[in-house]
Amino acid sequence: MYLILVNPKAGNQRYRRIEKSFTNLLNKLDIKHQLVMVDDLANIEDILKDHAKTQLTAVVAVGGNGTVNTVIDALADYRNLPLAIVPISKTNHLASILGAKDWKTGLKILAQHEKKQLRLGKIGEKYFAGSLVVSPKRTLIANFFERKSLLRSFVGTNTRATPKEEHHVACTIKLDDALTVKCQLHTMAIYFQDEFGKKMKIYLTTYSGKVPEESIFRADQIEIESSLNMPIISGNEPVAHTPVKIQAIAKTIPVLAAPSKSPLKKTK
Amino acid sequence: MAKDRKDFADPEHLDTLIGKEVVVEGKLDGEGDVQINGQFIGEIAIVGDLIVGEHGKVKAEIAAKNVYVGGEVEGEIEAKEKLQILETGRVTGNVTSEALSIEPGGILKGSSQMQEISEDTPTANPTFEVEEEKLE
Repeated sequence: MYLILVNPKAGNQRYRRIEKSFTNLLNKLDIKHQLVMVDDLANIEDILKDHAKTQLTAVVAVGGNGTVNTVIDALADYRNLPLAIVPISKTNHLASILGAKDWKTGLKILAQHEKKQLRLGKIGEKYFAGSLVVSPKRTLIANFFERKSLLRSFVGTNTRATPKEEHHVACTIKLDDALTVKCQLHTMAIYFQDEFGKKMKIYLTTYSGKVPEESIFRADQIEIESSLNMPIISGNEPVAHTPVKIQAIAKTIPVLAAPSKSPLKKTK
Repeated sequence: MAKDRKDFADPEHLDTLIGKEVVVEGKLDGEGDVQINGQFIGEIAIVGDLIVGEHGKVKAEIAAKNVYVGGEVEGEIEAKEKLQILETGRVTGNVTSEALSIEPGGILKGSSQMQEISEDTPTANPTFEVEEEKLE
């Protein structure tokens, strides 16, 4: 049986709009489940404890990045209980890694899937998977306004407010206690790798004049200090601020992903 | 396999890439290739190739498979196979390698020691590909 945890607030309360189709598809796919509405993400750990004695096939996180991260954090203590993701918001990096591009594909994965191991990262006491972005707030705001949409085109806000290359912050980044990197950081993207033994891959974007420059590093542990506090973003939600220590730990959780030779596409 | 100039700008096969405006201190090790276009101070001990770009400044003891220098390097270099100093390259320090190549304009200030080439290793790559290009 699948324990389906739905965050009704995710994706601008999208679940309310798709609820009927969602349950119809669940029934059509003949997925045995128990659906729990999670109004407060802080309750997820208690819900999992309540179902500790139930024979669960997997825990399904239905929501955005915040929901997924909270479930991952809670599941880290249940080593063999797999996670599945049904994305409700538009940006869910981890869901797309697992082949769940939308909620319908996410549900189809429950019926037909491949089990994979996802390596976890840790910030403070919280567990993460997938990727993180570190960037000055001004860059994040500028990036938001750069995302083209019909509405923003209509109101004329697709133009840049300030030149991008000015958005950088002096940073000192320690990698594995072996390297110290000093730069004027514009954006940093951290990717947790799927396999054991593979270090986190870190992409730094700096500017040389008006030209963006990329740097690539690999590490198991990153410590970031910056002249201004920068948010650490998972998906589109801040999960911490600098100074921060990020670790790729020797711990994985099983996840349900689309099969490699995916028959899911044929069913569209 | 020896690298071509076009490989120097391709970040796809790189394990580590240090950008122009980035300063790195410490010990760098690993199995993949490393390209330095910024500044590096410390020690480099890698299994793969090291490429010091035109704007790269390295002050370190270096051990790598092949070393290509287009910028400035200060320190000893031990290349398991080939050390190539490009036309913009400048090396200050003693170097050890199986093969050494200095392009016109490239500078080496220090002694060079050649390692003996094992019998299994071919001494030169065939040149027919280059000749074919010329014929075209």
